[in-house]
Amino acid sequence: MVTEPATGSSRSRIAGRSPTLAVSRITQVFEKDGEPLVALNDVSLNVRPGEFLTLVGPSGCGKSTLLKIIAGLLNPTAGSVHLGGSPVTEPREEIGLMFQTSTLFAWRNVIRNIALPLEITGTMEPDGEKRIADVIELVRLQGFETHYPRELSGGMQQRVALCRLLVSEPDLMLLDEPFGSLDEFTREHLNTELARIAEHEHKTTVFVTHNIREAVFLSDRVAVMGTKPGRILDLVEVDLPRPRLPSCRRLAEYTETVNYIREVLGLF
Amino acid sequence: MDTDMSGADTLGMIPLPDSGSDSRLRRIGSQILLTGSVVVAFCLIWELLSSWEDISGSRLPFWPEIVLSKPSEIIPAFFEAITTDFVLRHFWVTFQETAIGFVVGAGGGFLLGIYVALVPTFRKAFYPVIILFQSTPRVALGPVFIAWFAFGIGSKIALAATICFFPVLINTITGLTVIDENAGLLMRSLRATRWQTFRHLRLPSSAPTVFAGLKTALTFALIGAIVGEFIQSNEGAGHLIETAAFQFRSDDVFAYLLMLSLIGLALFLLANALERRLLFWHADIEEVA
Repeated sequence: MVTEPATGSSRSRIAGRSPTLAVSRITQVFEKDGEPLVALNDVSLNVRPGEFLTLVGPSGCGKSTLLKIIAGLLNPTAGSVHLGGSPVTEPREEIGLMFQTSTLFAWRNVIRNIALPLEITGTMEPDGEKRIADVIELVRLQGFETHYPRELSGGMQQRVALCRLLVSEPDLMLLDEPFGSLDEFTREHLNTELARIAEHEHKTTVFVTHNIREAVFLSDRVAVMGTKPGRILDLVEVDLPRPRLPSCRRLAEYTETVNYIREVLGLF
Repeated sequence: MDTDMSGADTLGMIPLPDSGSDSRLRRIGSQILLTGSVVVAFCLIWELLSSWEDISGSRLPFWPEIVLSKPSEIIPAFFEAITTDFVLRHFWVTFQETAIGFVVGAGGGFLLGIYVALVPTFRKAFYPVIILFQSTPRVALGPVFIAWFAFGIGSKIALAATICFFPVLINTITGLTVIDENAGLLMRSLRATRWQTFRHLRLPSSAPTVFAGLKTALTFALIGAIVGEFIQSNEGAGHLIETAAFQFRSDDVFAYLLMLSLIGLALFLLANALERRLLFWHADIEEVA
């Protein structure tokens, strides 16, 4: 990220730069009413460079906790996270985050919300404005540059949040149920958009959701998680063609994978 | 934040509530008409009851005129008052006390609020003390301030400042401390410094809460000044009202009260206009005509 040459915006489909993410033997114990609560028990996971991996599971399986640990926002009770070979113990510039709520700053318009990471890290110069314009085009937000968050629908707000994530060109993108509060139609629409953008950017991505169909549609691999204690039940390869288009949902492999994951989760 | 705005995604935009200035004007017009008729009706009934003796010849008026005047005398008294230098000079004193008291009290509350909010140990130590002071009826401090700052304008400023200090202090602390959890995580993930988090997140997101405190403080400042004058003074609107009341000049009393109300209303409208301008981005801006 820091050593990136100025021509950064055109990335090749080959993930030469994306680092490997190694999660090894993470255990997280919280205290709840004086009792220890095992949120994550001995979770290990390798995410390949440029891979789109989804953590799917019911509430309480520790998927959001795991994401916070990967982001360096939470120190695990035991275990470690390595990104590109170096340990993650605190937030890092090359890791980008997105949440279920858009967390846009209501007092900033769209452009200035997207500019926030660049302002904070002092990387607005020399090409910040161009990068902002690029991500706005990529996420198809043209025409809304000077709108304020309250003027935007929930789906549009999440698009802006996605722009804000993309603009700092993180090597690792962490998305915590970004479409969780949207209705089904908006969600499917944004899934298609995110698939397109992920294929274009080809960055290592960890996506958290409790929506199995969303997980299958977007991912290269799905880590299916279970509760009590939070752990990974199975790692499922998704054999769907790219680019992922809405028609992918009609394929037999799609339905099979969804059903397989439902079976792993004991939903049948 | 309201995120459930289904379907509109491809359209993207939700119109702002008052985008058309035309409809806004019409709304204000009908508001004035409505409120105006209530006021006029109220005054007519008042006038009628006050003049009952003249109308009916009855020996039993509802109330004697020296206790409560009637609109037909208050209104001329009001217009006389607002054109009399002597009255205006007294009101000017009260206005100064209010303004200076507000700036000192609200400014102090805001600055101390920032400090308390940002220094956790300070917050822990002082918050209970602040709550204790907050629940003390602060006008009761009036005589103390008279003793400290003498009879002049100083004691009234002190009282006004003390009263409007607390709402601003409390709201500043609340506004700066209660922030969206994910927004805080976002700033942390961007490795923002404490100062950056303060400047870009805490301070702007506290603005609506702080502003609500300022609006309360503005009203409080006027109350503080008047009460201070009631306690002990030889100038100011409170002094005028007190003197007129002692002399049973009921029409003047109500003329002065009307002036004070109008000053209060003007301050309130000014604060509202300012809020609309500064906090236009805020979703729950109060809709006041």
